[in-house]
Amino acid sequence: MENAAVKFDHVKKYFGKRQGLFGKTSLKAVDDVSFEIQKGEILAVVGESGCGKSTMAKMLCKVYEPTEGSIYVNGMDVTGHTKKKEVKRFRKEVQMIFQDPFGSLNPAHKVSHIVGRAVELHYPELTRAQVRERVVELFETVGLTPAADFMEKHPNQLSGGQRQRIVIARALAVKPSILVADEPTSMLDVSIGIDIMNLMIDLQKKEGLTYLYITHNLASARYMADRMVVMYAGSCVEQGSTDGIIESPLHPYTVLLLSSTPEPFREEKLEIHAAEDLPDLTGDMNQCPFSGRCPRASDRCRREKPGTYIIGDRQVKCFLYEHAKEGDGPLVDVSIYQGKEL
Amino acid sequence: MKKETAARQKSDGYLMLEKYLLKNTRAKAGLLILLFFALVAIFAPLIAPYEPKDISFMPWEKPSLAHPLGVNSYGQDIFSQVVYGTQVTMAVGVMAGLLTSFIGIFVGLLAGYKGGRTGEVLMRIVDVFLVVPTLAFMIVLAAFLPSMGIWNLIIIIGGLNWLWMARSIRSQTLSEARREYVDAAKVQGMGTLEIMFREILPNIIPVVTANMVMVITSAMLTEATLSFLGLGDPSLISWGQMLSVSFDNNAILYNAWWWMLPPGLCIATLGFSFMLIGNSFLDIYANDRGGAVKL
Repeated sequence: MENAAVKFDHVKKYFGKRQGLFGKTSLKAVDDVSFEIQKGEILAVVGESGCGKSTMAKMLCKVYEPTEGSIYVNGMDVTGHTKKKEVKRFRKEVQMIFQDPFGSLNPAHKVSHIVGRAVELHYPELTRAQVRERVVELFETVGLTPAADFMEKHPNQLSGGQRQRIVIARALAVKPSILVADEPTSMLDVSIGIDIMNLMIDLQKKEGLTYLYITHNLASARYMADRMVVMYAGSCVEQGSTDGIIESPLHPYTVLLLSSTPEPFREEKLEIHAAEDLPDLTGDMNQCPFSGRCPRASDRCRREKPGTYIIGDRQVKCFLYEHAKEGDGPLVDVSIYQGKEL
Repeated sequence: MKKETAARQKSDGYLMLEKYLLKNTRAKAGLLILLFFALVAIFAPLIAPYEPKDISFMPWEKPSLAHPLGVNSYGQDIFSQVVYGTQVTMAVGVMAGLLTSFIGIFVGLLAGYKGGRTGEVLMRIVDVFLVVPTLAFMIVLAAFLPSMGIWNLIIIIGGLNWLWMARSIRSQTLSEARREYVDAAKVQGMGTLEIMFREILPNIIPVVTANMVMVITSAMLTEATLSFLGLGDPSLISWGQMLSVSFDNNAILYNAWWWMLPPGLCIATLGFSFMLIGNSFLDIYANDRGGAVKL
C-alpha cells in the first residue's frame, strides 16, 4: 500500500541478557510484528505489561533499533539510518508522547525552554521572538491558557494533566505527521485522562496526524482508535478494526483480555484465575506464545508457531482459524475460561 | 495574579538555596571559614605586617607583639608567611580542583551517558590509573619535570586527581540517563553533548559540587604533601612549603612550635571547611533520593 504512514515489516527486537558467567541469551521483546498505519489513522496497540508495546513505540521513535526487519515511515525505510541529516529529517516526522509526565520533562528547565528547544532544534532559522511566539501558540493549542501563566514555570510547579499537555506541546513543536503515544493517560486521573484523549483526537482532526496509540486499557483504545493491534508476549496475536475486535474477538487471548475489563452490567459472573507472568521470552519459541495459558491449546500449538490467518479485514495468529473464511465468527468465547486456572 | 507567579518563581530558586545553604548550619560554617581564608588571601598585602621573604629579624624569635607568630630560622616573620601562603595554597587548590572537575565531569558524563564501548574503555583507563598509587606517581613526575613552577604543580595535581570523581559522576549519570527526559531529548533530536551538559548535568549539580569541594581539598592537601616532601616550588611560600622548611631546619629540636603549628592548623581548618560544605550538600542530596548516592 502506497499511503501507509507507518509500516512495520517483520520487526524483531531482541535484548541481550547475561546468564550465568559466560552465557548470553536474548530476550525477545518484540518477535516478528507486522502492521501498517494509514495516513490520518489512529492505531491502538493493546496488551498487558511486558508484552513489548513500549519497545515497539521506542523503535518507531528510533530510541531503539530493531534487531531484524524494517520500519517504513511514509514509504521510507528508516531502520539503520545513522546519518545526522536523515535522522533529523526523521525526527521532524515522528514525535513521541511519553507515558510518565513526571519523568519525561527535565526538572531542571522551564517549560518554555522545554517546548522552545524542540522548535529551535528543527527550525534554526527562527529568531528568538519567533520561537517564543510559536511556543505561546503551542501552549494555546494544548489548552494551557493564558500561556503567559505557564511559560516561566518549572515542571514541578504543574499538575500531572498540565505536564502531559506540555509533553504534547513539545511533541507538536516540530510539526510532526506521526505521533507515538505511549500510554499517555495511564499516570493521570481518569477525568484528566479523558481530557487528554479528547485533546489528542481534536489535534488529529485539525492537523491530520497519524497516531500509534499504546495502551493497556481497551476502553481507551475503543474511544480513540480506528484499528487495533493486540499483542501478547512480543507477538501480534490479532489485528483489525477496533469495533470488530471488541464486538467479536477471535483470538483466545483477546477474549481473555476483553473479559477482564470490568463491565457493570454483565449478567454472569466470570471466575478466572489469571496467571501473572508472561511466558519465558528468552528461549527459542517454537510454539504459540499463548499456548501455556490457552484452554484450547492442542499439541500442535506447543510444537509450532501459528502463522497469520487473514479473515476479511482481520488478522489472527491462531491455528483455530487456519481454515476460516471471510465472515466466519469467533470460534471461542469467554466460557472456555470459566473456572479455569490459567 | 502576575505578582503571585513572580513570587513563586523566585521562591523556586530560593528554595534550593535555602535548603542547601541557608538552613544548613554545616555548610554555613564551612562557607564562613572559607570566606575568611579567601579574604585573607585577597587582602594579604594589607594584612601582612612585613614582606614574607624579608630576613631582617632575629632568628628563632618567639611570638611577640611585633611578630605575632614569631620568626623562623632565616629571620622571616611567620605571620606574614602564613598570610601570603594562603594565596598560593588556595590558588593551587582551586585551580587544580577546577582542572580535575573539568576532566572528571567530562569523563564521568561521557562514560555514563554513552555507555557501551566508549564507557567501558574510559572506565578501564580509570581503573588502570586507580591501581597506580597517585601520590607516588606525582612524586615521580614532580622529580622528573625540569622546573616545578606553580602551573606544573597545578597540572600534575589536577591531572591525576579526577579518577574517583569520574567514577562518582558516571554512576550518577547512569541512573539519570535512564530517566525518560533523556529519551525525550533523543526523540527531539538533541545532540550527545547537549544531552550530557544541558539535560543531565543540571540534575546532578549537588553531586558535582560535593565532588568539586572534595577534589579542591585533596588538591590543597596534595600541594602541601608535595611541598613538604621537597617537590614543590621552593621560591613559592605555601603552607606546605613552610612546613617543609621548618622540618628541614629542625624546628622540632628548637621547640619552635610557632613555626610548625600555624601552617598545619591552617591546612586542617581550610580542609575542614571544604569537607563541611561538600558532605552536607551530599547528605541533603542523598536524603532526597532515599540515601542512594555513592561517592
